[in-house]
Amino acid sequence: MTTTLNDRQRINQPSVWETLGGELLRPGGLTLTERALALCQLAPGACLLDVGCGSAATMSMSTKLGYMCIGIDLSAALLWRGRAEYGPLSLLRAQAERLPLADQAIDAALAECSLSVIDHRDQALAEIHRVLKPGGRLVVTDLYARNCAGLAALRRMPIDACLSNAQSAQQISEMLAAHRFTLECWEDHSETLKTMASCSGAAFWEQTAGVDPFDLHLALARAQLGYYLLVATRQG
Amino acid sequence: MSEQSSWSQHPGWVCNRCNTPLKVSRVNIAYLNSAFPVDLLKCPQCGLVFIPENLAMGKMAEVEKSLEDK
Repeated sequence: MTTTLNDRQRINQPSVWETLGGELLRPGGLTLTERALALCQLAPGACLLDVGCGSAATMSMSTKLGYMCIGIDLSAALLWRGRAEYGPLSLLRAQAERLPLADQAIDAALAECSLSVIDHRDQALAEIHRVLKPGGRLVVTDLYARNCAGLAALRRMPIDACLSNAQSAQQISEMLAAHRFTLECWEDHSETLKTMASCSGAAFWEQTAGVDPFDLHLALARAQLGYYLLVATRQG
Repeated sequence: MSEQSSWSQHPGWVCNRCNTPLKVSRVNIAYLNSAFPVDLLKCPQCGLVFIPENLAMGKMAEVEKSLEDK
């Protein structure tokens, strides 16, 4: 039997992370993480869950800031790299849709550029709601479409990655409300996408093999992709 | 990619300069700091690339405009 990687899995291979964005394949990097944590106003020693922690850069920083951190990711290779680079951290190979955590155990959950690549977002949000304490914070940073009219063309792209899974701000807001989260803060950080210029380079196109690059560029331009940071609070 | 394949499979093109049959090759088309890898007919000897009119006047023109508007 032959096993092939889909685009989402390929994007999560460490070698691709190295080629595309270096240590952190996400716009804004740790600067945006710091901003998010400041918005959360967490107590010292608060317990954080990093959903899609990758090689644990956020966890390392958060630990230094005095928080307790648990990270989950699907990529064993990235978790190994995190252990090698940052030493003993609570890193688990797990799905966001089935969090190996007790109910109401977490003060804040972070999904940095990971929500859009989770297969079953609704299930993942339900799980995050379950493990968060009442009043706990959910931080999401991700791509979004600033022009809803461009979403249909983006969906038709034969690529299964965060680019084609982008939603509009309204869709994201409704999705959170449906999972009993109250949106506290929404910030546009689209300027951070400019620093991800390497995504238009050869390594990026290598990962999207089979996609007409002109079609993809036009679809992305029409959707006016932006980048957001939101903080929401768990209701109840 | 189907449209690209149809350009690539166009038979019989020969380089006017070298009289060599063009071959399908991966070509990087760059404009305003963006690069797009596409399969096009290229002369294996001198590197001349054949860009079909419908591509140049169609998608490429659209992409150019989109990049200029940024």
